[in-house]
Amino acid sequence: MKQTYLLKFFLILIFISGIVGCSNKTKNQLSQKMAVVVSTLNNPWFVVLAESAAQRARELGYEATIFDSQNNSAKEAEHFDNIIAMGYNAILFNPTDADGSVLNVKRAKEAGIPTFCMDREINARDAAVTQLLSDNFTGCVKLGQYFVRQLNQQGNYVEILGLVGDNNTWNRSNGFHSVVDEFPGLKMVAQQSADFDRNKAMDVMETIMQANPNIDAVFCGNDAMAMGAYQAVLSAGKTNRIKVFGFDGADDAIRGIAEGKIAATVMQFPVEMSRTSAEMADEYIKGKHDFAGKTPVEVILITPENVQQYLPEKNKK
Amino acid sequence: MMKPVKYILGTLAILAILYFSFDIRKLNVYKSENNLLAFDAVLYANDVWKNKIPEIAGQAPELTYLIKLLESDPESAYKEFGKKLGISKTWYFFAKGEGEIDSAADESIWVKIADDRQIQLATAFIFGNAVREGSGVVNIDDFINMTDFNNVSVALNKKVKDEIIPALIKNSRSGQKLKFSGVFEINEEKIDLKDIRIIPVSINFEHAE
Repeated sequence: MKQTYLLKFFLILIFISGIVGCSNKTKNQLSQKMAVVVSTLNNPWFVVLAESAAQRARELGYEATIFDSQNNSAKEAEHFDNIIAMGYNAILFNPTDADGSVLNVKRAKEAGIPTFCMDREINARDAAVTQLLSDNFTGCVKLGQYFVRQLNQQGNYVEILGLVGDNNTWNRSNGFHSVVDEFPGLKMVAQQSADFDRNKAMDVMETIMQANPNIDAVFCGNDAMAMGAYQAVLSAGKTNRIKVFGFDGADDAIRGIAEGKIAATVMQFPVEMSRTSAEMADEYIKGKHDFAGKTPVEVILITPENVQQYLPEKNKK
Repeated sequence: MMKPVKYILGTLAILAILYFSFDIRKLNVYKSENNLLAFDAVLYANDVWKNKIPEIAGQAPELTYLIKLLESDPESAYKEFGKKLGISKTWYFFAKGEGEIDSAADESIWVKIADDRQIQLATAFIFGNAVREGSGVVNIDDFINMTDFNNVSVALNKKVKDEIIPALIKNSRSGQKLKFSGVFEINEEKIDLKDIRIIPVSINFEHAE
């Protein structure tokens, strides 16, 4: 009888240690996950932002998945539902709407998932762990001063805005106007949104040029729209008269400056921004919780005078 | 007899709940109440300009000392006196100095200071965040968004344009002696101390008009 008890005891012990061993193995095998939620993958700039974030997360040992919100708040909310349900460890987030995206970030926070905003901000101080943002306003102040000098303080111009629900749209516009509006010789003949979209910008510019034949310049809220506007200007045969200004530092716009198509742009650093966000998320997961609420990232004015040092070919070497 | 009393009490209770559940106000009253809570950048900037900038200007380092430090040991200059915003290579410095006006250009006035140096006091193109960041008293995390934060810069720059620049232009005669305080920026990748452009926040002229 005593031997039977002992045997039973050992069998139970082996069974329990087996279960514990298996569960530990399972736990070790389950890697941690970061979600990269990006406003759109229909724009090369955001593709770079998302892929760089995901790549850095993988380098840090995380599984990383990219979710494309397609500039649609409902789609973004759906992604957050899935991310919360799937138990991700952190979200690297490029929002679609400064106000509309706040609730998603708050829901993730309530579920214990920290969110790190990249490039675009949300209008809340207590939702995201931190927000790493291009200093759009200062960039457009620099661009505005260059614009004023290029136009000798006089002329008619057009402004093509990005998404109206995005704070970056207005930080860029406000930075630009904080300079340009002080020069009464500069008159804005039209201001219209093209949602940061190249094709829409081309259509918008074509329509505006038909109504306003005497345009000297166009300021676009991003480089995709600048390239679209340039296409419209080219089709109208007005490249010698209308100067095109953009924002982002996209490869084709930088080449456009070198080739004399684009007057100037402002270079942002999506790779640095997204990689730093992934590193911050990693630090958070490992226990660091004291982050600044917002960290602006400096941007650089690119003009024909300094474009050679920022050509994509040169930077890829 | 009890049933009607119960119905009456129940109805009264429901009415009371409904009554206290709603707050009906005129839309314009509601909007004006909410506007009162909106951030007022001009009011905020006025407070910084009136109550904080004079003290910061008084405690600012002497310009000639700061320039020498930037020449000899820029890292110490950044650490001790520099301010910067986020991830950036641009440093903002608040400094005070004195000198003699040499000449007036389109966008600035050249001033001779000690050690045979010249600096520019800006009279036009006063834009950007130099005054806000150089002051070191405006914290980005106190603002709900970048728009409010940037509007503080716009309002501070307007104070400079309205209250400092007109007198500077009026007294910009060659040989005019003056004391000043202000903000300048340095890019750590290309430090150019021969072309320092200061946005003035205070000017005192000797025997001014």
